[in-house]
Amino acid sequence: MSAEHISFDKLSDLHDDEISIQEEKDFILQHLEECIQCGGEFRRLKDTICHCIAFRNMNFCNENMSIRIMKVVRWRRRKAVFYRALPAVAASVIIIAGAGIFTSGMFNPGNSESSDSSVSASMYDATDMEQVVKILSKNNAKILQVSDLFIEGETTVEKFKKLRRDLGFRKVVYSLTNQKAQYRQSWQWKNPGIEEVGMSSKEFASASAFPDAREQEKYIRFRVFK
Amino acid sequence: MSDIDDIEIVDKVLAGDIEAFSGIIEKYQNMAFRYVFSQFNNYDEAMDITQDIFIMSMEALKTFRRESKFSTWFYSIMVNYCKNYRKKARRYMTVPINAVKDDEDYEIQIPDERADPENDIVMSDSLRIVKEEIHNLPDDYREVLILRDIEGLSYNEIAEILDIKLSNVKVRIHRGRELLKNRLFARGLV
Repeated sequence: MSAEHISFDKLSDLHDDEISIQEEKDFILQHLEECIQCGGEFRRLKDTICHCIAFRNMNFCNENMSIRIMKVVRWRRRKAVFYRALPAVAASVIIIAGAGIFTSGMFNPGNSESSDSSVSASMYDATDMEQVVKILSKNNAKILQVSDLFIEGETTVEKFKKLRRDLGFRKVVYSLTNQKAQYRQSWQWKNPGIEEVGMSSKEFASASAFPDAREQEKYIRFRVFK
Repeated sequence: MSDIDDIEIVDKVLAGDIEAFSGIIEKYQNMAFRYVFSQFNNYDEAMDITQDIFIMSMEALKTFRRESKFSTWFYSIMVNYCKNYRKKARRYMTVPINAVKDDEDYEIQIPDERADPENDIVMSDSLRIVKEEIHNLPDDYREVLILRDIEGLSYNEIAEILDIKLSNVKVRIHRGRELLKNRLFARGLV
């Protein structure tokens, strides 16, 4: 295109009405009427743009597109809700499983010296009473009565020392007696007895707790409370 | 549907009513598909990309700051998604299965479940040529031409969507039009 002709940029601007100076616009329009070459160029430009506009009027998408997209959107939303809730669900499962394992007795606090935790003892009464029975059996103490509140038993003063230590944190009420239970007609708790709670391994219960204990009073009757 | 309607829908979606988003899809699906189809010239690929664009825009609704029209914001997401998709596609170039090696043709006939894919888009020969030629334009020219001459956006909107200067938009439009006109002329269409 020679210098006398209108540049393509100007023709494009003219088509889009982007020429702000009126004189320039008039000059170009007049030139297009006179010059066959520029007129043809402008016509071809308009045809090109018309083809593009025809493209705009076409309906490409089928109606299913909206339904299809919304289906995916709903599915993704549900997935997002699930993933948000997943940590909470996992935590609940872990807590429930942990509690189940704990109550099954696999981690029983009554087995060791470090079992002074009153919290764990109060949580697991049933398991704890089983442990008490085991401790009493181990120390050759005689079990006389088992109730919902306590286990009552009898042993000698010497053995009670170790037994009391093994019972650890548990509340124990005990009293001296001079006869084995099998020989007594009717025995009653004379005094309220001596009550101990939370005994450590260094302390010990013994006959020394009864300064006026007579020689023949060599048995101790006790109750271990839940 | 005006921009105010768009903003009402956006508010509803943000308030939890995701079904309201179908209004946005209905309004912009043709435009979005036209743009994507012109960019990639593959019907199925264009359908998938259009779907991804809508899902992405819905998830990004919170970032719409209402400083511009919703349509402009949506166009920006669409344009950027296509750019990124093209970059990714170039990184993983695909080779036609029937041009494997040594001039031997390994033609595998995969039956197309649709009766005639091209006829799904009822298209005349001239439009098919225009579509091909637009697709063959350089990326920079193609995207401004689609936004200007097919979608009818203003120069300012295009500058905002593409995040380029107004003068740059004009230059790209002029050059793109000239190139397209010459190619259509060569094929006897103008």
